[in-house]
Amino acid sequence: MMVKFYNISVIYPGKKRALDNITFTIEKGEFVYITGPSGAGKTTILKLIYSEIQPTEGVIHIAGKDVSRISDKSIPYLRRNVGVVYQDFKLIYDLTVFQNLAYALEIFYMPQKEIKLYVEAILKKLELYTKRNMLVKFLSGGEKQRVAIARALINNPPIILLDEPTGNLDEKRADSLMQLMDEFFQDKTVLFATHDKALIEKYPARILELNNGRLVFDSSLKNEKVNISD
Amino acid sequence: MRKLIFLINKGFVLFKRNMAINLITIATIATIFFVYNILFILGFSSNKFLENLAKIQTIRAFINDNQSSEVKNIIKEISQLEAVKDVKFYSSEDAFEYMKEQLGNSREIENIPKELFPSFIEITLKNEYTDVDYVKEFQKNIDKYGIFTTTSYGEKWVINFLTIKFGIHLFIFIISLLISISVASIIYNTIKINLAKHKMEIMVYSLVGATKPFIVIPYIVCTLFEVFISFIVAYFTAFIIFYLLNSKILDTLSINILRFPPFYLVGSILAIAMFIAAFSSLYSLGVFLNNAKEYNE
Repeated sequence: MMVKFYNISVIYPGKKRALDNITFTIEKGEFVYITGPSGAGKTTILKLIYSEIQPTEGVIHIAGKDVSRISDKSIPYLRRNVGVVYQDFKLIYDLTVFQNLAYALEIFYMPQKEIKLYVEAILKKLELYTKRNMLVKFLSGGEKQRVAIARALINNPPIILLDEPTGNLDEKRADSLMQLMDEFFQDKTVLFATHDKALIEKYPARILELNNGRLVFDSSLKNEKVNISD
Repeated sequence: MRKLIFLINKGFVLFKRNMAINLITIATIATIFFVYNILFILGFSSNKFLENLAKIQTIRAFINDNQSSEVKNIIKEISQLEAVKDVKFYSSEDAFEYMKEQLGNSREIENIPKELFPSFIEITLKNEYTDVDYVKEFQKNIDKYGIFTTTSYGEKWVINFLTIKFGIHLFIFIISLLISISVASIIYNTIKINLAKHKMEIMVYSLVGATKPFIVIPYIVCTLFEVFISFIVAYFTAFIIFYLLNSKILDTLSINILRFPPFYLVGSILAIAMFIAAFSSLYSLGVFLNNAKEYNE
């Protein structure tokens, strides 16, 4: 078991419940869609996994470790095991492609020579090598996304989180992203937050469907969708 | 150690990347330090000058005429005391001659009968015992002999000098406090501007798993470097100005009042400045990172 949520609730200060009593388990190497309408709690689940927020109630286990009340000091070490691709990429636009990737390795106090080797290898894999000295702000949307994926992959984390990565992409680019993932995320546990039903139908995998902070459907349980008013 | 060297290097890289704002900060802090160093050197020189003035070299003890027979023995005893360099006896006649000489051989003084001048002993102290607190103690011991009517060492002047010296100390202390506050607030704001500029980088670092020291230490290194450069530039500029003033003007006028603080004192001020800078930048970083965390949540 790689990710386990047990009775997780999240209440933002002064707001309604973002998540309401969610329980699920994701095995190592599994690919899971987290779907549902905007505001359903998809991003909240991802934020819980990389400890940007902590649950109000419940227990979260990541790779067997309880991270529901993780200390501030331990968060960085957890995040090193989780690669995240954000919808807005969260790249540094005034730095080059190379520098953006090097950032993710500098935190390991790696010598520059070694960083160069790692970064160039991943850039070659993702066909970004020729763009390595280009400022990110001059890249196309698809290229930025590949840089974001490269950054998520560069330190070989076991868990990959993708937050609406196809949100701004047309169908062709979305397809090419899925092919990239198929190629590079083989041995990873992947949580893919999306509300793109067409994409889910085209590339089927386990689905966790949320609505209004509740888990209404888990395809692994082969259950019927729960009426959220229940 | 390898990690620390890595982060120190990153601090210098950060300094280079924000060169424009860092140079402005250095210029601002250096100006403040320059004014401070000028005032400090002047304060230090005045302090030394007053310290020398306030040194009590001699004490006069006026003798009760009825007990003048014991004087010889007491002088012998006093001369054997550790602090005493020399003891001289002045009879009424000697006192008259002494006063006459002091008043420029005035004729008016000759109208006063010599026997009205009180005899006294003049005690010269060794250099290391000229401190006013010691002299007060010494005076009490002298008074115990019981043959002296009055003991005097120019208390009034000494007290005046010491009051001025205290005033200078207070002035330097207040200036130091104000300068510390100015430097701290400049550092705080510079770091704030730098952090705002690198907000996205810090966020990315945090998301990919950078520890707090990894983010914080380079900024502190950058700040310490700024303060170090500013202080050195400011001190040496002040030093050169005073050195030229001393050698080209004051020396030729035989005015020898300028004194430069010893190296350990300058080093201590630099260390305090760097401590304040580190504290200020840590505080600025703490506020920024807390706000960023709340913002993310």
